[in-house]
Amino acid sequence: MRVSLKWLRDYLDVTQPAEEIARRLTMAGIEVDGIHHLGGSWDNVWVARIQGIDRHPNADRLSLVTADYSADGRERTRRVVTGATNIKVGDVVPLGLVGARYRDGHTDPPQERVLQPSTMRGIVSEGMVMSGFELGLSEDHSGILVLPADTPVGIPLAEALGDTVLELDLKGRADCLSMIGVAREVGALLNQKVRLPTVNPQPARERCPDEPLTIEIADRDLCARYTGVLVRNVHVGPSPAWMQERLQAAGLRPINNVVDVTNFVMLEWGQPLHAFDYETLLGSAAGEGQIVVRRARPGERLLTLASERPELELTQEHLVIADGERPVALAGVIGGADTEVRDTTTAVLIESANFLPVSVRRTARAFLARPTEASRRFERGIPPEHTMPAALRAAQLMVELAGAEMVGPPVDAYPEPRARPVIRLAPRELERLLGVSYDSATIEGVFDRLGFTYEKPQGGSSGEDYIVHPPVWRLDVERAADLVEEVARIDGYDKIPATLMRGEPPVPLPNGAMLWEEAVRDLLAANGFADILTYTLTSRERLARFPHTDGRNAAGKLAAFVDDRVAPPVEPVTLANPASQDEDVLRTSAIPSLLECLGANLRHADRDVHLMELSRIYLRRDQGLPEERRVFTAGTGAFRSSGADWKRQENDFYYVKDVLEAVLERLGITGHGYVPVQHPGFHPYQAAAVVLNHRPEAAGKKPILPEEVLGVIGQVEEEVRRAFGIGQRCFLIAMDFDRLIEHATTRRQYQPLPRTPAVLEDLSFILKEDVPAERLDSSIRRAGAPLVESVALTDTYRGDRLPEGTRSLTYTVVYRAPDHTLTNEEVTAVRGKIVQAAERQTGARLRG
Amino acid sequence: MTTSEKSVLIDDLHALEREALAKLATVPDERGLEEWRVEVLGRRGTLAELLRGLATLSPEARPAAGAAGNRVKGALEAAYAERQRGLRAQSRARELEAERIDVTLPGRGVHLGQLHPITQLRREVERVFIRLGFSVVDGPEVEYDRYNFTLLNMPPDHPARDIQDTFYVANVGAPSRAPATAAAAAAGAVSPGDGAAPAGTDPLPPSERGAGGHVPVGVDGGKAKMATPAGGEVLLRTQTSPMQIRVMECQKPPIRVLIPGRVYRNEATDAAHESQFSQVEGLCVDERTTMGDLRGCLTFMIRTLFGSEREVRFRCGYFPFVEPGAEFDMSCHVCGGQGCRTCKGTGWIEIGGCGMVHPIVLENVGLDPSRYSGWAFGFGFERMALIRYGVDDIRLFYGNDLRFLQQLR
Ligand SMILES: [Zn+2]
Repeated sequence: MRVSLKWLRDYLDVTQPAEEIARRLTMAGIEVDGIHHLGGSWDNVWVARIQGIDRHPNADRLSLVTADYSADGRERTRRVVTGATNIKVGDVVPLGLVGARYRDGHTDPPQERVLQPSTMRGIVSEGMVMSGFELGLSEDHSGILVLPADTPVGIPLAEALGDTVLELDLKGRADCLSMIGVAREVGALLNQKVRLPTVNPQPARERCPDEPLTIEIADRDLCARYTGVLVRNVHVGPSPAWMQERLQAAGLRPINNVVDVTNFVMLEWGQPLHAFDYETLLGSAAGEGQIVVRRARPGERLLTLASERPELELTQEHLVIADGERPVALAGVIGGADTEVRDTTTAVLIESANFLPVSVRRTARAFLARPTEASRRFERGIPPEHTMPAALRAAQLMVELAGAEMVGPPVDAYPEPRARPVIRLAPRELERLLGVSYDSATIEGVFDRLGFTYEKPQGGSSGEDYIVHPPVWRLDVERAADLVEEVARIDGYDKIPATLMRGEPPVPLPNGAMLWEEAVRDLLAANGFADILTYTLTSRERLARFPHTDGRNAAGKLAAFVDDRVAPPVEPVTLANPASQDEDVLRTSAIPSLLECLGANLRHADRDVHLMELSRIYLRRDQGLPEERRVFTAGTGAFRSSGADWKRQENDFYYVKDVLEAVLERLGITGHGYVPVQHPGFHPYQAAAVVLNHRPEAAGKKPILPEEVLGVIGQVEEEVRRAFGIGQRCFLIAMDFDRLIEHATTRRQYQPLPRTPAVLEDLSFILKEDVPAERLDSSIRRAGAPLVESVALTDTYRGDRLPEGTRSLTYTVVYRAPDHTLTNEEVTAVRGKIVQAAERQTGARLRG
Repeated sequence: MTTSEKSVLIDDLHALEREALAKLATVPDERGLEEWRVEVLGRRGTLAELLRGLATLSPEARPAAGAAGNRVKGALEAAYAERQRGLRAQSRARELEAERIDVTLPGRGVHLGQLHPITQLRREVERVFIRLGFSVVDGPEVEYDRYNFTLLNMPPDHPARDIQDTFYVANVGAPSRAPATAAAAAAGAVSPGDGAAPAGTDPLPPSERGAGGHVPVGVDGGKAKMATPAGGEVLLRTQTSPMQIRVMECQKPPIRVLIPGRVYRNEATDAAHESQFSQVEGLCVDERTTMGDLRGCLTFMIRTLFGSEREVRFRCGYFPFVEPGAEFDMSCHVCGGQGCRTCKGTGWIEIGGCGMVHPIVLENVGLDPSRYSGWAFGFGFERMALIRYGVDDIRLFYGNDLRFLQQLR
């Protein structure tokens, strides 16, 4: 809503600067988005009359305009080139000369420019005739701003149109979609009385029998009230300068005095009006001229004033205004073309009605790209009490400005006058909600300023409350809490103190999942990983960049279990109204965004790109909302810093495995293992599914259940990483974090520190390459129990000194008895068992 | 043995002392020193040789010669020890010198990890409210219309729904698998490697489930356990406020919760707008809590985050689920309220929205608005991060360029 201060002063003596009014309104909940000083930037713009229009000799679409801005007996004309077509000789227009500032709409966003001397197709243009857009008056690019014909020519435009306009951002207060509403609000804030226009037009005569006017509301659920006034002898023509100025300041284009009056009254009262050419309304079969407010009938059509979609196909969903035969307007949204007021119109039926907000909203949305000024107001709700003053105000203005005469009194259909709310407000309610009490003078002062009527508390058991009647225009005030806000905001929110709760403490809610997420974030951040946040919305194409297994062979089944955890191959949750095709689904995997991010960062850095994300993937379920599964993803490039001799060092599978092990340890997860997996997203021999209940000694014979799979770790397959623009080896961890949490525990078991000395020994085994090391490790532990306290791999070797297809693994074995110092004999015996078992179970031989 | 015999021995001792000391001074290193020691002080050394001559002396001459012998021996041993210390110090000094490094070389580059600036800010806010007795919970991002709008006093066709451009979900309900993976989906247990072993049963030890009290409650994400009545259309939540409803549905007052989370708006993205961003919602419901408590908590938060001199200002504001409603601003941390570019000259910076929970919302969750009062607030983390770090493009937060993130470590 654009509020002209010039216009506002019709109702109120505003002396405060615009900035102060804007501040007061904003503090009171009516946000002022901008203050436009119209004319402040209009140096070198004059009011001129078009003397002649000639064709441009070198361009069909341009014309040469001679503009006269003579004043005080000095003759001044300029010849300018324009592409506009909406002007004719005699029009009064703004003329910008060199140095004038204007808004250039050819760029996005529009830019402020200074008019320079220019030559267009060989003809010098000595200035420009300007549009409302260029002057910053409106968003209307479509033509030159044609000023009222009685605007004095030769004066600076700022003198003719200068004004200050407040741009209101109205989220709540629908009553402030009107000048009178804003005036009332400003009046309340400044403690001033509002002057309403006098509305008391008298009919020039009664309606004759051949001027029927009946109004029937057939669908009362959608239309509460319909008031019609007939005016005749209308002389359609331009409206006076003061009205055109006000409309323009509000951002509307003047059209003719009849339409302008309806728009003016809509802006003034917030009550949308419509003007029908009375003579075009058809009677019913019975011959009676009539207005019927009813739902459209299937198959009915309406040709409207909106150019975009000329003929609307109507259904019973839509409320229409019909005459005796056909729809003539879409109620509250837009009028029909057949009954529109034209230059030749002499009889006008003014419609001032109240329609159900939801109905108008739906209809407007069904047919129009954006709401009309009228539908915007109906949608937000307007009081039915306003139809009568608005109708009379319009009739009066048509009498005054279009030479019309009012015929008969208004015809008013208002079948069920609305019950207005009566609100009880206990003064202590203010303290209960706000934490501060208000005395009766303050409360009553606010009510008075806002036009609320009330009965004071009578005292006694039943009379502690104010009985408050909100004014008709405050449809938003329905209950005590609303009154509390009114008192608080008019008196000033500053009065609300800063205190803390005094009640008993609440029961704490557990939030384990979030705590685990935070623990892992901390751990990884401490280990060189950067926490990232990526987008939930993605596309199927982007998701598909990281492949799924086809799941055909036995190995593929394990890979399929992995997919089911971290990238289920399901139809993603899809948006009905995506902003772009690139963001039309919710991600079913967080892997692609991590790899995208890895790729983007590896374009700037050759090392130390270590990323982690704790996020969600979204998976449809049989019913209800999708599963939002927490996932943990982490990835690294091929290198990190801190190598020897200041060189970078290589990352490898074991580096990321250490990271994952640290995470699992933090979560208290044990008994898991790494099973080689063949997944098309990973290097065929450098990837593992991470599974629970792992038994190395089962030598791969133990079946893996889907519910045992936690996720996957490995080197990303080369083609796959290249698809993400990653030019070096990279490693990835992807885990179902919800499943990790399911098995996570904070429980830790204390073991007393040993009191007896340990014996340490390095045992080197030669093991075949195709036997997993974990089996040897497990053999040593099991054979050495209970004296073997720990087993740690401390060296590996491959080379010429070993048989082909084997490797050497050196374990540091720690032997200890809890109750005595081990003897050599004991250690020798255990070692013997270990060596025997290792050989039997894994084929490993003790080396040298 | 004569006097001359005696004095000859003493003279010899003195001569030995002189020569040995002179030689000791020229010993170059510890090996030379050891040679000297063997030669002079050793069991067969020159001193021992001379002292053996004592035995041949007459008893009268012995004491004087013996005393001289002891003195010389003591002197030589002391000189030896002294020389040994000196030589050790020299060699240690050489060793240390060999370990000289260029301390001006850089470290080899510890690569530090970090938390995302939004994570950092979220945690700071969480910590503030945890100190005020709030619990932190999260909830679903894909939500029923009913929770996101209707129960928050925005019934269908409420004009306020227009303020938030909403993403709606087209395909709620039964998921369908891509045909290529149907086999995988249908699979039971598999064995790695060669063996196609039969499906086994090895259920997880139940003792490990949800240990440590970390059991998600009903308000937790997709695991919502509360009854979710048919909630109408499914959408991406436009605000964290639906969690107000979910929390009040499953917890009785007193309630103090803080709900951070992602929200979505179908808006064109630019330097100031993202279609995805992070919000936080605070909710307090009790038999006696006021807008003053709301202002107090927000003031405490703002002062913790932006400094103890900050003030919080309420402006009247409209949100359908609060009444009275307010927008809250903080006094500008850059200029202290004098007016600057950051605060557009007003001295105040807009942070978020808040207010007293609307009586209709309380009624919607079965709480009597005449008995209970509540307040709620919400604001965006990205916006706050922009303010705090002076970042000029919100998209940087989801770009995850390490060159950006590392500036805000
Ligand atoms: Zn400032």
